[in-house]
Amino acid sequence: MLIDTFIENSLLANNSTKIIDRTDFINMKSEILERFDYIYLPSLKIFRKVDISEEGINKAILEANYGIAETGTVICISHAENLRRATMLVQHLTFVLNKRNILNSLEDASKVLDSETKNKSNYISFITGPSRTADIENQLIIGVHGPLSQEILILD
Amino acid sequence: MGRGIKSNIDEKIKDQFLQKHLTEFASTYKQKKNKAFEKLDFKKLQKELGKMKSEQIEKNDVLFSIFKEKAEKAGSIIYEARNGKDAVAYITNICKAHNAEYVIKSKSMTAEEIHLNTFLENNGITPVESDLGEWIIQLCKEKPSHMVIPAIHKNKKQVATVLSKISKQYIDENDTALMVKTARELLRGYYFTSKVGITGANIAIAKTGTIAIVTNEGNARLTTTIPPVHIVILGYEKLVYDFKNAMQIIRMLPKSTTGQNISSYVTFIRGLNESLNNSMGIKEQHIIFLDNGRLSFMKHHILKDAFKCIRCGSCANVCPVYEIVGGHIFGNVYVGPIGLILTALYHSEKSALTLFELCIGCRACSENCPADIDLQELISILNLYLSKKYNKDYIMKFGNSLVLTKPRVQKSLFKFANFASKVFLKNKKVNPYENLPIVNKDFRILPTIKEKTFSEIYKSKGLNKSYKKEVFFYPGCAIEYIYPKIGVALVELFSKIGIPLEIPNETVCCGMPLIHSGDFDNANKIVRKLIKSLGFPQTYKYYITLCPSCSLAFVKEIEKFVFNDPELYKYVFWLKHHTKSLNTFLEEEKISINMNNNYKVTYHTPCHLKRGLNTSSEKLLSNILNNNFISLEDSEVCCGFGGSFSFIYNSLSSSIAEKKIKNITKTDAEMLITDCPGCIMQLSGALKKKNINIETMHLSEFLNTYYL
Repeated sequence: MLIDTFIENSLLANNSTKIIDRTDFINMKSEILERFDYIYLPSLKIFRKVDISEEGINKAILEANYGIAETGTVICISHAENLRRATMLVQHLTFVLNKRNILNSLEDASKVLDSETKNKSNYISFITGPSRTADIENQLIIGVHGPLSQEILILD
Repeated sequence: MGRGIKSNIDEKIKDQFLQKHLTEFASTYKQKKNKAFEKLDFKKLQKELGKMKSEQIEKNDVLFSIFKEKAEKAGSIIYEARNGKDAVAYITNICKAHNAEYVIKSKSMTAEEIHLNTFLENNGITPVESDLGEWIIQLCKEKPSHMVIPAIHKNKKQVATVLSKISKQYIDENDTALMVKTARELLRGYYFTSKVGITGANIAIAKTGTIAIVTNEGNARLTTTIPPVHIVILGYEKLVYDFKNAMQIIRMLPKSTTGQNISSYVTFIRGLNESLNNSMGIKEQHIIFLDNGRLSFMKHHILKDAFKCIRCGSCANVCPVYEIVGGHIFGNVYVGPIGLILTALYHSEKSALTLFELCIGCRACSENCPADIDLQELISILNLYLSKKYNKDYIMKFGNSLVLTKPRVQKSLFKFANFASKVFLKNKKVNPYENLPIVNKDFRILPTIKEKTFSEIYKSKGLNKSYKKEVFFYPGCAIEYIYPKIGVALVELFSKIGIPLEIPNETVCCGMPLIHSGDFDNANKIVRKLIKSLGFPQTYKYYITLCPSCSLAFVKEIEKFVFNDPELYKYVFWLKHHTKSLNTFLEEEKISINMNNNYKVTYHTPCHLKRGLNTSSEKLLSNILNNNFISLEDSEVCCGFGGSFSFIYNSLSSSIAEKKIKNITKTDAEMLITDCPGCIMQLSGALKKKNINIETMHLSEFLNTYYL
């Protein structure tokens, strides 16, 4: 139920979103390593850290901390700047989201925000789709200062 | 009012791109917004958000001290700026301390409010706007014409030209994608060369000292991440207690702004995060709270409501006047209806007073505000206060004091006008005044002033007055002097149904024209005479009006003139809760009407019926007429009349009416029914002038004519 709502809203926000079997995904490790310039998948212990500068990078894959079904949002908690840069200075961004971490509503997310900002500095982003603008004649263009495309892989 | 503003308006009306674009924008906005709220109860969420924001404003001082404590604990530097000058000086000092040649900015209305860019430039610091629309207007050296879509007034060709020039490449005017790509590439470097990033904040969460920024382009995340220093400039009204409160705003804001379920990015920043470009390895962050009058106005019993605003821009998106003239006319720094209010509070009361004239009074803004601000009411009250303070239109007010506040003089004057028209103006084929240039040039064929008033006709019919009546009919000036037939139709209809009506001994103006034009003193006088004329202390179960603007005066406007008079307040309270339109009366009394009508009929919903009495005759007509009823697209949108507005701003009124006429002709209906003599004057007159053969009738006439 939650996952269906999440996918529906995520697709509305121009993400390409799909469910992937966890084992299948782990088996794709070599492919992941080949495909992405930047990798941050702590729960699968797959990393590739590169310094990201003004030129940016082509492809990044990151683990999202949570998802919000109500809006099809992924939550990215990133005090570390390079991790943040990987979500901004990138052409094509992929988030991996554990199915168990999908929250129902914005109110549920507020609890996360509360505990994540309580006793520490933090930088938390709700990310819903690639960057976009309609500033020129109200015409929607995907890809402005952030990613040009965005993919969400939900691990089942 | 000045010649300047009128010629500027006419220039905008002639700007075909602007007209087409704003119309399309308004129409797609409404569709998108409705879709976004499709599965939700907008009215309920609106009330909840309004209530929450009110509560937060109430305890703003407490919230600020909590925020300050929590944010400082995390290393943020909090600065309280008394006014714009104070804020820009503080910001400039920080920029200078960091030898900042460039500062990268993410769009902030608060920064616009204090004219930050000009100040930075004068100090040799180059601000670079990173929001695409804001950057375009910065390159064009213009100011935003919309709070969310700052360059809404620019067309692709203009954007292509300016971006071609700055990027030294040819950009085709239809290649929007390339324009966006160019902005991405050209602005990228500035995030890295800027020593300081400046943003606003959509929300400040006191409980943990966190700020939240909502964007779509991703520019705010870069602005807050790459430069070593981050300056936040925000108003105190952005404070809420916790994240739950914040989520209420985040749920409503994007839906009301662009019809998105949520914006692409909502960023929450607390304290000092890692900063690769800062030699300390950690960000320097300054949060500047701007007063500029906020701290006082938030304690004002009426004006405090303006601070519930979440800056979604929807009040502009639904404003029929904004849709014609755009934000360069309809506003100052802040645009749209909230802009009119904030212009008075932050910038110039005198400029605001001129802008208030452009408010047609349709109440669409109030109905649509996600934070439940009655914008129209704030505009109306500020207009009354400031018009008195600056003694605006004193000649007109003097005239009002001689005529409108004296019902007998008013009647004599109307009688004289009727007499004069017969004696002095020979050509009476359509309208005795049609040779007068002011009438001839009008986009409508205007009605005449009638020889016999409604009250005279009523009395001459010698209606039964012997038993106690439950229903009081208030005709109002338009029916009394110009359209007696609308009132007569009601009397006839009710005698067929078997309901006796009482009418006032003397028709006194409802006060609406005076209130809307800001004539406080005369409105105050007339309201007292009006209440007297309504038969009090005897009370009726129903006060029927056939003019929704009179109804709006009864249910909303006149109350504010009697707070200091307990007895009158008691009467007005009764009146407020017993004022009915014809359709609600029939509905509540369960009177069903059968009709003998074979015409195809459409219906225009008057603004003050929908957004004053909260009703419409659409359902009634569709029930009676079945397939012969065709619903009108944008039925609830203003027809452009607005009383004196349509005479003072004739071209503007005409442009708004034009859209209505287009929708009416699209229905192929043979008859147009509405509930307001003002709308009839506007639409019947415009249809006649265009020789469009659609008969316009008031609901009372229609029901009476075809009653079976």
